[in-house]
Amino acid sequence: MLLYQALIVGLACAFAKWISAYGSFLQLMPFITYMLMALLLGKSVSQALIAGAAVELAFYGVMQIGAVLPQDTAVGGILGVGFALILNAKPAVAVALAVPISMLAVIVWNLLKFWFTANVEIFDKYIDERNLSKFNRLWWIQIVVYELVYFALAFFAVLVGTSGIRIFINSIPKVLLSGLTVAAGMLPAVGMAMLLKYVWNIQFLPYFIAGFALAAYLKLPIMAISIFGVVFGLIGFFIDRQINDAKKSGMQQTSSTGNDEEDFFNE
Amino acid sequence: MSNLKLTPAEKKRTKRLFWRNMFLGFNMSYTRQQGVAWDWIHAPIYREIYKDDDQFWEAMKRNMEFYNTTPNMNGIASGLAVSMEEENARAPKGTFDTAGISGMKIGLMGPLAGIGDTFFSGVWALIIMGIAISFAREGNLVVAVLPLIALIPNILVRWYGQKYSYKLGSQYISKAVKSGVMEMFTKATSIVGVTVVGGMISTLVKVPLVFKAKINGNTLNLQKIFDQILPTMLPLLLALGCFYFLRKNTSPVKVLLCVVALGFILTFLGITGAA
Repeated sequence: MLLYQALIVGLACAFAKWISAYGSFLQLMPFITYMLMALLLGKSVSQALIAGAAVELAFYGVMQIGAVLPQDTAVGGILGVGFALILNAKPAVAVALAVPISMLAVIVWNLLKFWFTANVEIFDKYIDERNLSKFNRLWWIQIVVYELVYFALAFFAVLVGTSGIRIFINSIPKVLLSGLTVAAGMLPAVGMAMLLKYVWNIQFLPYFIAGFALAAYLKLPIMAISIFGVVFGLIGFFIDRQINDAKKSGMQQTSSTGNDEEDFFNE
Repeated sequence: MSNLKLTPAEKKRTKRLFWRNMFLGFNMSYTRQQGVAWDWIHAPIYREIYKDDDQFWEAMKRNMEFYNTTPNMNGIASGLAVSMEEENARAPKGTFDTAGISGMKIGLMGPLAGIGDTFFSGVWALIIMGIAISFAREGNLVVAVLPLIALIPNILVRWYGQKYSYKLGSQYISKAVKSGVMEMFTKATSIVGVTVVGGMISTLVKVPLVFKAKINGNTLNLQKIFDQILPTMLPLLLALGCFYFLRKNTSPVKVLLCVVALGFILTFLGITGAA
Protein backbone atom coordinates (compact mmCIF):
# COMPACT_ATOMS: atom_id res chain seq x y z
CA MET A 1 0.00 0.00 0.00
CA LEU A 2 2.69 2.44 1.04
CA LEU A 3 4.71 1.37 -1.99
CA TYR A 4 1.81 2.25 -4.29
CA GLN A 5 1.30 5.60 -2.54
CA ALA A 6 5.00 6.39 -2.84
CA LEU A 7 4.86 5.51 -6.51
CA ILE A 8 1.92 7.86 -7.13
CA VAL A 9 3.43 10.79 -5.23
CA GLY A 10 6.73 10.17 -7.05
CA LEU A 11 4.97 10.26 -10.40
CA ALA A 12 3.02 13.38 -9.41
CA CYS A 13 6.28 15.09 -8.48
CA ALA A 14 7.92 14.10 -11.77
CA PHE A 15 4.84 15.34 -13.64
CA ALA A 16 4.83 18.66 -11.76
CA LYS A 17 8.51 19.20 -12.54
CA TRP A 18 7.83 18.30 -16.17
CA ILE A 19 5.14 20.95 -16.67
CA SER A 20 7.09 23.49 -14.64
CA ALA A 21 9.69 23.39 -17.41
CA TYR A 22 7.54 22.36 -20.39
CA GLY A 23 5.78 25.50 -21.56
CA SER A 24 5.87 26.93 -17.99
CA PHE A 25 2.39 25.52 -17.43
CA LEU A 26 2.74 24.70 -13.73
CA GLN A 27 2.42 28.35 -12.68
CA LEU A 28 -1.31 28.03 -13.29
CA MET A 29 -1.84 24.32 -12.87
CA PRO A 30 -0.81 23.20 -9.37
CA PHE A 31 -4.39 22.33 -8.44
CA ILE A 32 -4.74 19.99 -11.39
CA THR A 33 -1.70 18.02 -10.23
CA TYR A 34 -3.14 17.83 -6.69
CA MET A 35 -6.47 16.59 -8.02
CA LEU A 36 -4.85 13.93 -10.17
CA MET A 37 -2.75 12.80 -7.23
CA ALA A 38 -5.81 12.55 -4.96
CA LEU A 39 -7.72 10.54 -7.58
CA LEU A 40 -4.88 8.05 -7.99
CA LEU A 41 -4.39 7.78 -4.24
CA GLY A 42 -8.09 7.07 -3.84
CA LYS A 43 -8.54 10.07 -1.55
CA SER A 44 -11.13 12.83 -1.59
CA VAL A 45 -10.45 15.36 -4.33
CA SER A 46 -11.99 18.23 -2.40
CA GLN A 47 -9.76 17.42 0.58
CA ALA A 48 -6.78 17.68 -1.77
CA LEU A 49 -8.05 21.04 -2.99
CA ILE A 50 -8.45 22.40 0.54
CA ALA A 51 -4.97 21.26 1.55
CA GLY A 52 -3.67 22.53 -1.80
CA ALA A 53 -5.29 25.93 -1.26
CA ALA A 54 -3.56 26.28 2.11
CA VAL A 55 -0.21 25.35 0.57
CA GLU A 56 -0.60 27.58 -2.49
CA LEU A 57 -1.57 30.45 -0.24
CA ALA A 58 1.67 30.03 1.67
CA PHE A 59 3.55 30.02 -1.66
CA TYR A 60 1.47 32.86 -3.03
CA GLY A 61 3.57 35.39 -4.88
CA VAL A 62 6.70 33.29 -4.82
CA MET A 63 7.76 33.38 -8.42
CA GLN A 64 10.74 32.51 -10.45
CA ILE A 65 12.22 35.82 -11.57
CA GLY A 66 14.81 35.29 -14.24
CA ALA A 67 16.87 32.27 -13.30
CA VAL A 68 16.56 32.49 -9.52
CA LEU A 69 14.35 29.91 -7.84
CA PRO A 70 13.66 31.07 -4.27
CA GLN A 71 11.57 28.04 -3.26
CA ASP A 72 10.81 24.89 -5.19
CA THR A 73 7.05 25.17 -4.87
CA ALA A 74 6.43 22.17 -7.16
CA VAL A 75 8.23 19.66 -4.92
CA GLY A 76 7.05 21.32 -1.69
CA GLY A 77 3.43 21.42 -2.82
CA ILE A 78 3.30 17.81 -4.05
CA LEU A 79 4.95 16.39 -0.93
CA GLY A 80 3.02 18.60 1.49
CA VAL A 81 -0.35 17.77 -0.04
CA GLY A 82 0.71 14.15 -0.63
CA PHE A 83 1.60 13.53 3.01
CA ALA A 84 -1.54 15.30 4.20
CA LEU A 85 -3.66 13.05 1.96
CA ILE A 86 -1.92 9.83 2.93
CA LEU A 87 -2.12 10.60 6.65
CA ASN A 88 -5.56 12.29 6.50
CA ALA A 89 -4.01 15.30 8.21
CA LYS A 90 -5.22 18.89 8.56
CA PRO A 91 -4.39 21.49 5.87
CA ALA A 92 -2.08 23.26 8.35
CA VAL A 93 0.06 20.09 8.40
CA ALA A 94 0.36 20.23 4.62
CA VAL A 95 1.69 23.79 4.92
CA ALA A 96 4.03 22.84 7.75
CA LEU A 97 5.59 20.19 5.53
CA ALA A 98 5.43 22.04 2.21
CA VAL A 99 7.30 25.18 3.24
CA PRO A 100 10.48 23.60 4.63
CA ILE A 101 10.52 20.94 1.88
CA SER A 102 10.26 23.63 -0.80
CA MET A 103 13.26 25.40 0.69
CA LEU A 104 15.36 22.24 0.91
CA ALA A 105 14.39 21.11 -2.58
CA VAL A 106 16.14 24.16 -4.06
CA ILE A 107 19.40 22.39 -3.19
CA VAL A 108 18.49 19.53 -5.54
CA TRP A 109 17.79 21.97 -8.35
CA ASN A 110 21.09 23.75 -7.77
CA LEU A 111 22.99 20.45 -7.90
CA LEU A 112 21.26 19.51 -11.15
CA LYS A 113 22.05 22.90 -12.59
CA PHE A 114 25.71 22.48 -11.66
CA TRP A 115 25.74 19.24 -13.59
CA PHE A 116 24.04 20.88 -16.60
CA THR A 117 26.63 23.66 -16.44
CA ALA A 118 29.48 21.16 -16.45
CA ASN A 119 27.89 19.53 -19.49
CA VAL A 120 27.84 22.77 -21.50
CA GLU A 121 31.49 22.12 -22.38
CA ILE A 122 30.55 18.70 -23.73
CA PHE A 123 27.76 20.22 -25.82
CA ASP A 124 30.32 22.66 -27.20
CA LYS A 125 32.63 19.77 -27.99
CA TYR A 126 29.90 17.90 -29.89
CA ILE A 127 29.24 20.98 -31.96
CA ASP A 128 32.94 21.26 -32.80
CA GLU A 129 32.87 17.56 -33.74
CA ARG A 130 29.71 18.20 -35.78
CA ASN A 131 27.90 15.35 -34.07
CA LEU A 132 24.21 16.19 -33.85
CA SER A 133 23.06 12.78 -32.62
CA LYS A 134 25.41 12.90 -29.62
CA PHE A 135 24.23 16.47 -28.94
CA ASN A 136 20.61 15.31 -28.92
CA ARG A 137 21.45 12.25 -26.84
CA LEU A 138 23.04 14.28 -24.06
CA TRP A 139 20.09 16.69 -24.16
CA TRP A 140 17.62 13.84 -23.56
CA ILE A 141 19.85 12.15 -20.95
CA GLN A 142 19.76 15.38 -18.95
CA ILE A 143 15.97 15.53 -19.13
CA VAL A 144 15.61 11.87 -18.12
CA VAL A 145 17.96 12.33 -15.16
CA TYR A 146 16.08 15.48 -14.14
CA GLU A 147 12.78 13.58 -14.16
CA LEU A 148 14.22 10.53 -12.38
CA VAL A 149 15.79 12.63 -9.65
CA TYR A 150 12.48 14.29 -8.79
CA PHE A 151 10.58 11.02 -9.02
CA ALA A 152 13.08 9.32 -6.67
CA LEU A 153 13.06 12.28 -4.30
CA ALA A 154 9.29 12.12 -3.71
CA PHE A 155 9.16 8.30 -3.90
CA PHE A 156 11.73 7.78 -1.14
CA ALA A 157 10.43 10.70 0.90
CA VAL A 158 7.04 8.97 1.12
CA LEU A 159 8.46 5.47 1.49
CA VAL A 160 10.90 6.34 4.26
CA GLY A 161 9.33 9.41 5.80
CA THR A 162 5.64 8.57 6.22
CA SER A 163 5.87 6.67 9.52
CA GLY A 164 8.09 9.31 11.06
CA ILE A 165 5.79 12.10 9.94
CA ARG A 166 2.76 10.21 11.28
CA ILE A 167 4.36 10.02 14.73
CA PHE A 168 5.32 13.69 14.47
CA ILE A 169 1.77 14.75 13.56
CA ASN A 170 0.17 12.69 16.32
CA SER A 171 2.52 14.16 18.90
CA ILE A 172 2.02 17.81 17.92
CA PRO A 173 0.57 19.71 20.90
CA LYS A 174 -2.58 21.66 20.18
CA VAL A 175 -1.02 25.07 20.74
CA LEU A 176 1.68 24.23 18.17
CA LEU A 177 -0.94 23.30 15.62
CA SER A 178 -2.83 26.55 16.10
CA GLY A 179 0.49 28.43 15.90
CA LEU A 180 1.04 26.64 12.62
CA THR A 181 -2.37 27.67 11.33
CA VAL A 182 -1.73 31.30 12.26
CA ALA A 183 1.72 31.26 10.63
CA ALA A 184 0.23 29.73 7.47
CA GLY A 185 -2.31 32.55 7.34
CA MET A 186 0.43 35.15 7.69
CA LEU A 187 2.77 33.65 5.09
CA PRO A 188 1.10 35.09 1.96
CA ALA A 189 2.32 38.50 3.15
CA VAL A 190 5.88 37.47 2.26
CA GLY A 191 5.00 36.44 -1.28
CA MET A 192 3.03 39.61 -1.84
CA ALA A 193 5.85 41.74 -0.53
CA MET A 194 8.19 39.95 -2.93
CA LEU A 195 5.94 40.74 -5.88
CA LEU A 196 5.56 44.30 -4.73
CA LYS A 197 9.32 44.65 -4.52
CA TYR A 198 9.68 43.32 -8.05
CA VAL A 199 7.33 45.86 -9.68
CA TRP A 200 7.59 48.70 -7.17
CA ASN A 201 7.83 52.31 -8.19
CA ILE A 202 6.62 55.13 -5.95
CA GLN A 203 4.28 56.22 -8.78
CA PHE A 204 2.25 53.09 -8.11
CA LEU A 205 1.37 54.05 -4.53
CA PRO A 206 -2.14 55.36 -5.37
CA TYR A 207 -3.04 52.08 -7.10
CA PHE A 208 -1.83 50.09 -4.12
CA ILE A 209 -3.97 52.14 -1.75
CA ALA A 210 -6.95 51.89 -4.11
CA GLY A 211 -6.65 48.11 -4.32
CA PHE A 212 -6.40 47.79 -0.57
CA ALA A 213 -9.35 50.10 0.08
CA LEU A 214 -11.54 48.31 -2.47
CA ALA A 215 -11.00 45.07 -0.58
CA ALA A 216 -10.93 46.36 2.98
CA TYR A 217 -13.93 48.68 2.83
CA LEU A 218 -16.01 47.56 -0.15
CA LYS A 219 -15.21 43.85 0.42
CA LEU A 220 -14.91 43.29 -3.33
CA PRO A 221 -13.78 39.86 -4.54
CA ILE A 222 -10.44 39.42 -6.29
CA MET A 223 -12.01 39.30 -9.74
CA ALA A 224 -13.63 42.72 -9.27
CA ILE A 225 -10.41 44.24 -7.98
CA SER A 226 -8.58 42.84 -11.00
CA ILE A 227 -11.06 44.59 -13.27
CA PHE A 228 -10.45 47.89 -11.47
CA GLY A 229 -6.74 47.19 -11.83
CA VAL A 230 -7.16 46.80 -15.58
CA VAL A 231 -9.05 50.11 -15.67
CA PHE A 232 -6.19 51.87 -13.85
CA GLY A 233 -3.64 50.19 -16.11
CA LEU A 234 -5.45 51.29 -19.26
CA ILE A 235 -5.75 54.88 -18.01
CA GLY A 236 -2.03 54.89 -17.31
CA PHE A 237 -1.30 53.38 -20.71
CA PHE A 238 -3.31 55.97 -22.64
CA ILE A 239 -1.83 58.89 -20.70
CA ASP A 240 1.66 57.54 -21.38
CA ARG A 241 0.87 57.16 -25.04
CA GLN A 242 -0.32 60.72 -25.27
CA ILE A 243 2.84 61.99 -23.57
CA ASN A 244 4.93 59.83 -25.86
CA ASP A 245 3.20 61.14 -28.99
CA ALA A 246 3.47 64.73 -27.76
CA LYS A 247 7.19 64.24 -27.18
CA LYS A 248 7.69 62.84 -30.66
CA SER A 249 5.75 65.58 -32.45
CA GLY A 250 7.48 68.13 -30.24
CA MET A 251 10.86 66.86 -31.36
CA GLN A 252 9.86 67.02 -35.01
CA GLN A 253 8.62 70.59 -34.67
CA THR A 254 11.75 71.89 -33.04
CA SER A 255 13.93 70.33 -35.70
CA SER A 256 11.97 71.27 -38.81
CA THR A 257 10.26 74.53 -37.92
CA GLY A 258 13.02 76.49 -36.25
CA ASN A 259 12.24 79.43 -38.56
CA ASP A 260 8.65 79.70 -37.46
CA GLU A 261 9.82 80.48 -33.98
CA GLU A 262 11.88 83.39 -35.27
CA ASP A 263 8.90 84.68 -37.21
CA PHE A 264 6.81 84.48 -34.11
CA PHE A 265 9.28 86.55 -32.12
CA ASN A 266 9.66 89.05 -34.95
CA GLU A 267 5.95 89.69 -34.98
CA MET B 1 -2.37 41.72 -44.57
CA SER B 2 -2.01 39.12 -47.28
CA ASN B 3 1.70 38.92 -46.58
CA LEU B 4 0.84 37.35 -43.20
CA LYS B 5 -0.48 34.19 -44.84
CA LEU B 6 1.87 31.29 -44.32
CA THR B 7 2.73 29.00 -47.19
CA PRO B 8 2.28 25.29 -46.39
CA ALA B 9 6.05 24.87 -45.96
CA GLU B 10 6.25 27.88 -43.66
CA LYS B 11 3.28 26.64 -41.70
CA LYS B 12 4.98 23.31 -41.13
CA ARG B 13 8.11 25.08 -39.97
CA THR B 14 6.35 27.46 -37.56
CA LYS B 15 4.30 24.61 -36.11
CA ARG B 16 7.42 22.59 -35.45
CA LEU B 17 9.11 25.61 -33.90
CA PHE B 18 6.07 26.25 -31.72
CA TRP B 19 6.17 22.77 -30.19
CA ARG B 20 9.91 22.66 -29.78
CA ASN B 21 9.85 26.08 -28.06
CA MET B 22 7.94 24.45 -25.20
CA PHE B 23 11.29 22.97 -24.14
CA LEU B 24 13.04 26.28 -23.48
CA GLY B 25 12.77 25.84 -19.72
CA PHE B 26 14.70 22.57 -19.64
CA ASN B 27 18.38 22.03 -18.92
CA MET B 28 19.28 25.54 -17.86
CA SER B 29 22.90 26.11 -16.95
CA TYR B 30 24.60 28.82 -14.94
CA THR B 31 26.89 29.88 -17.76
CA ARG B 32 24.54 29.94 -20.76
CA GLN B 33 21.09 29.70 -19.11
CA GLN B 34 18.88 28.73 -22.07
CA GLY B 35 21.67 28.77 -24.67
CA VAL B 36 21.83 24.99 -25.07
CA ALA B 37 18.04 24.76 -25.17
CA TRP B 38 17.91 27.40 -27.91
CA ASP B 39 20.28 25.30 -30.00
CA TRP B 40 18.39 22.07 -29.44
CA ILE B 41 15.07 23.77 -30.30
CA HIS B 42 16.33 25.28 -33.51
CA ALA B 43 18.69 22.53 -34.71
CA PRO B 44 16.24 20.80 -37.11
CA ILE B 45 15.03 24.17 -38.39
CA TYR B 46 18.60 25.29 -39.11
CA ARG B 47 19.19 21.93 -40.77
CA GLU B 48 16.32 22.67 -43.17
CA ILE B 49 17.42 26.23 -43.79
CA TYR B 50 21.08 25.53 -44.41
CA LYS B 51 21.74 22.98 -47.09
CA ASP B 52 25.45 23.67 -46.61
CA ASP B 53 26.93 21.66 -43.72
CA ASP B 54 29.52 24.34 -42.87
CA GLN B 55 26.84 27.00 -42.59
CA PHE B 56 24.66 24.76 -40.43
CA TRP B 57 27.39 24.09 -37.89
CA GLU B 58 28.44 27.72 -37.97
CA ALA B 59 24.85 28.64 -37.00
CA MET B 60 24.82 26.02 -34.24
CA LYS B 61 28.07 27.33 -32.78
CA ARG B 62 26.93 30.92 -33.04
CA ASN B 63 23.63 30.25 -31.27
CA MET B 64 25.16 28.43 -28.28
CA GLU B 65 25.71 31.83 -26.68
CA PHE B 66 24.14 33.04 -23.42
CA TYR B 67 20.41 33.44 -23.73
CA ASN B 68 17.73 33.97 -21.08
CA THR B 69 14.18 35.20 -21.32
CA THR B 70 10.67 34.32 -20.16
CA PRO B 71 9.89 31.08 -22.02
CA ASN B 72 6.33 32.20 -22.83
CA MET B 73 7.68 35.20 -24.73
CA ASN B 74 10.36 33.39 -26.68
CA GLY B 75 8.20 32.83 -29.76
CA ILE B 76 8.84 36.45 -30.73
CA ALA B 77 12.62 36.17 -30.63
CA SER B 78 12.54 32.70 -32.10
CA GLY B 79 10.36 33.58 -35.10
CA LEU B 80 12.49 36.61 -35.82
CA ALA B 81 15.75 34.67 -35.53
CA VAL B 82 14.53 32.00 -37.96
CA SER B 83 13.49 34.59 -40.53
CA MET B 84 16.94 36.19 -40.22
CA GLU B 85 18.68 32.83 -40.61
CA GLU B 86 16.62 32.24 -43.74
CA GLU B 87 17.73 35.59 -45.06
CA ASN B 88 21.32 34.61 -44.33
CA ALA B 89 20.87 31.35 -46.24
CA ARG B 90 19.42 33.18 -49.26
CA ALA B 91 22.07 35.91 -49.34
CA PRO B 92 25.32 35.21 -51.18
CA LYS B 93 28.02 34.03 -48.80
CA GLY B 94 29.55 36.78 -46.70
CA THR B 95 27.00 39.49 -47.55
CA PHE B 96 24.76 38.96 -44.52
CA ASP B 97 26.16 40.03 -41.17
CA THR B 98 25.25 37.26 -38.74
CA ALA B 99 26.20 39.49 -35.82
CA GLY B 100 22.79 41.07 -36.41
CA ILE B 101 21.10 37.85 -35.29
CA SER B 102 23.02 37.73 -32.03
CA GLY B 103 22.45 41.43 -31.56
CA MET B 104 18.73 40.96 -32.02
CA LYS B 105 18.62 38.08 -29.52
CA ILE B 106 20.61 39.95 -26.89
CA GLY B 107 18.67 43.14 -27.47
CA LEU B 108 15.30 41.45 -27.31
CA MET B 109 15.71 38.99 -24.42
CA GLY B 110 15.78 41.74 -21.77
CA PRO B 111 12.62 43.62 -22.79
CA LEU B 112 10.79 40.35 -23.46
CA ALA B 113 11.68 39.04 -20.00
CA GLY B 114 10.67 42.37 -18.48
CA ILE B 115 7.19 42.11 -19.93
CA GLY B 116 6.94 38.34 -19.60
CA ASP B 117 7.94 38.14 -15.95
CA THR B 118 5.70 41.04 -15.02
CA PHE B 119 2.72 39.81 -16.97
CA PHE B 120 2.87 36.00 -16.88
CA SER B 121 4.71 35.19 -13.65
CA GLY B 122 3.52 38.27 -11.81
CA VAL B 123 0.13 39.67 -12.60
CA TRP B 124 -1.58 36.91 -14.55
CA ALA B 125 -0.50 34.02 -12.31
CA LEU B 126 -1.35 36.19 -9.31
CA ILE B 127 -4.92 36.89 -10.39
CA ILE B 128 -5.65 33.37 -11.61
CA MET B 129 -4.16 31.71 -8.55
CA GLY B 130 -6.01 34.15 -6.30
CA ILE B 131 -9.31 33.13 -7.86
CA ALA B 132 -8.33 29.45 -7.95
CA ILE B 133 -7.39 29.48 -4.26
CA SER B 134 -10.73 31.00 -3.29
CA PHE B 135 -12.51 28.19 -5.18
CA ALA B 136 -10.20 25.45 -3.94
CA ARG B 137 -10.69 26.45 -0.31
CA GLU B 138 -14.30 25.35 -0.61
CA GLY B 139 -13.29 22.21 -2.48
CA ASN B 140 -14.99 23.56 -5.60
CA LEU B 141 -14.12 21.52 -8.68
CA VAL B 142 -14.23 24.58 -10.99
CA VAL B 143 -10.50 24.74 -10.27
CA ALA B 144 -10.03 21.94 -12.78
CA VAL B 145 -11.18 24.10 -15.71
CA LEU B 146 -9.94 27.53 -14.65
CA PRO B 147 -6.20 26.96 -15.32
CA LEU B 148 -6.94 25.58 -18.78
CA ILE B 149 -8.70 28.84 -19.68
CA ALA B 150 -5.91 30.79 -18.04
CA LEU B 151 -3.36 29.10 -20.29
CA ILE B 152 -4.85 30.73 -23.38
CA PRO B 153 -2.73 33.94 -23.26
CA ASN B 154 0.40 31.83 -22.89
CA ILE B 155 -0.47 29.81 -26.00
CA LEU B 156 -1.61 32.86 -28.00
CA VAL B 157 1.55 34.84 -27.28
CA ARG B 158 3.68 31.83 -28.16
CA TRP B 159 1.89 31.19 -31.47
CA TYR B 160 1.04 34.67 -32.75
CA GLY B 161 4.21 36.25 -31.39
CA GLN B 162 6.22 33.72 -33.32
CA LYS B 163 4.10 33.93 -36.45
CA TYR B 164 4.05 37.73 -36.69
CA SER B 165 7.70 38.21 -35.91
CA TYR B 166 8.55 35.50 -38.44
CA LYS B 167 6.46 37.10 -41.18
CA LEU B 168 6.80 40.79 -40.43
CA GLY B 169 10.51 40.73 -39.76
CA SER B 170 12.90 42.73 -37.70
CA GLN B 171 11.88 46.29 -38.65
CA TYR B 172 8.50 45.97 -36.98
CA ILE B 173 9.79 44.45 -33.78
CA SER B 174 12.63 46.92 -33.37
CA LYS B 175 10.18 49.72 -34.09
CA ALA B 176 7.94 48.44 -31.32
CA VAL B 177 10.86 48.24 -28.90
CA LYS B 178 12.11 51.72 -29.79
CA SER B 179 8.70 53.37 -29.76
CA GLY B 180 8.38 52.64 -26.04
CA VAL B 181 5.14 50.69 -26.47
CA MET B 182 6.66 47.74 -24.65
CA GLU B 183 7.67 49.81 -21.65
CA MET B 184 4.25 51.41 -21.55
CA PHE B 185 2.68 47.96 -21.61
CA THR B 186 4.94 46.71 -18.82
CA LYS B 187 4.07 49.74 -16.74
CA ALA B 188 0.34 49.26 -17.30
CA THR B 189 0.69 45.60 -16.33
CA SER B 190 2.56 46.58 -13.18
CA ILE B 191 -0.29 48.93 -12.25
CA VAL B 192 -2.75 46.03 -12.50
CA GLY B 193 -0.39 43.94 -10.37
CA VAL B 194 0.03 46.56 -7.67
CA THR B 195 -3.74 47.14 -7.46
CA VAL B 196 -4.42 43.43 -7.12
CA VAL B 197 -1.66 42.95 -4.54
CA GLY B 198 -3.20 45.78 -2.51
CA GLY B 199 -6.52 43.95 -2.57
CA MET B 200 -5.01 40.53 -1.91
CA ILE B 201 -3.24 41.71 1.22
CA SER B 202 -6.62 42.61 2.64
CA THR B 203 -8.42 39.44 1.55
CA LEU B 204 -5.81 36.68 1.75
CA VAL B 205 -3.42 37.57 4.58
CA LYS B 206 -4.85 36.61 7.96
CA VAL B 207 -3.70 37.82 11.37
CA PRO B 208 -6.55 36.61 13.59
CA LEU B 209 -6.48 38.26 17.03
CA VAL B 210 -8.13 36.41 19.89
CA PHE B 211 -6.83 38.49 22.76
CA LYS B 212 -9.57 39.77 25.05
CA ALA B 213 -9.10 41.47 28.39
CA LYS B 214 -11.58 42.53 31.04
CA ILE B 215 -11.04 46.02 32.33
CA ASN B 216 -13.57 47.40 34.83
CA GLY B 217 -16.17 45.00 33.56
CA ASN B 218 -15.75 46.07 29.93
CA THR B 219 -14.23 43.53 27.60
CA LEU B 220 -11.42 44.82 25.48
CA ASN B 221 -11.53 43.11 22.10
CA LEU B 222 -8.30 43.86 20.24
CA GLN B 223 -9.61 42.69 16.87
CA LYS B 224 -12.60 45.05 17.10
CA ILE B 225 -10.41 48.00 18.00
CA PHE B 226 -8.08 47.45 15.07
CA ASP B 227 -11.02 46.92 12.72
CA GLN B 228 -12.44 50.27 13.80
CA ILE B 229 -9.20 52.07 13.01
CA LEU B 230 -8.74 50.37 9.66
CA PRO B 231 -10.16 47.03 8.54
CA THR B 232 -7.44 44.42 7.94
CA MET B 233 -4.86 46.81 9.33
CA LEU B 234 -2.59 44.11 10.73
CA PRO B 235 -2.25 42.19 7.44
CA LEU B 236 -1.34 45.48 5.78
CA LEU B 237 1.28 46.29 8.41
CA LEU B 238 2.69 42.77 8.16
CA ALA B 239 2.99 42.94 4.37
CA LEU B 240 4.52 46.42 4.50
CA GLY B 241 6.98 45.19 7.12
CA CYS B 242 8.04 42.31 4.86
CA PHE B 243 8.27 44.71 1.94
CA TYR B 244 10.49 47.05 3.98
CA PHE B 245 12.95 44.30 4.85
CA LEU B 246 12.97 42.87 1.32
CA ARG B 247 13.74 46.33 -0.02
CA LYS B 248 16.70 46.44 2.37
CA ASN B 249 17.84 43.24 0.65
CA THR B 250 17.14 40.91 3.52
CA SER B 251 16.95 37.45 1.96
CA PRO B 252 13.37 36.22 1.33
CA VAL B 253 14.10 33.02 3.26
CA LYS B 254 15.00 35.02 6.37
CA VAL B 255 11.87 37.16 6.09
CA LEU B 256 9.80 34.02 5.67
CA LEU B 257 11.29 32.37 8.74
CA CYS B 258 10.75 35.52 10.79
CA VAL B 259 7.07 35.61 9.79
CA VAL B 260 6.64 31.96 10.80
CA ALA B 261 8.38 32.65 14.12
CA LEU B 262 6.20 35.71 14.67
CA GLY B 263 3.07 33.64 14.06
CA PHE B 264 4.17 31.08 16.65
CA ILE B 265 5.24 33.61 19.26
CA LEU B 266 2.01 35.63 19.00
CA THR B 267 -0.01 32.43 19.31
CA PHE B 268 1.95 31.21 22.35
CA LEU B 269 1.36 34.57 24.00
CA GLY B 270 -2.34 34.15 23.35
CA ILE B 271 -2.60 37.23 21.17
CA THR B 272 -3.44 35.42 17.95
CA GLY B 273 -5.09 32.05 17.50
CA ALA B 274 -6.82 29.75 15.09
CA ALA B 275 -10.38 30.99 14.97
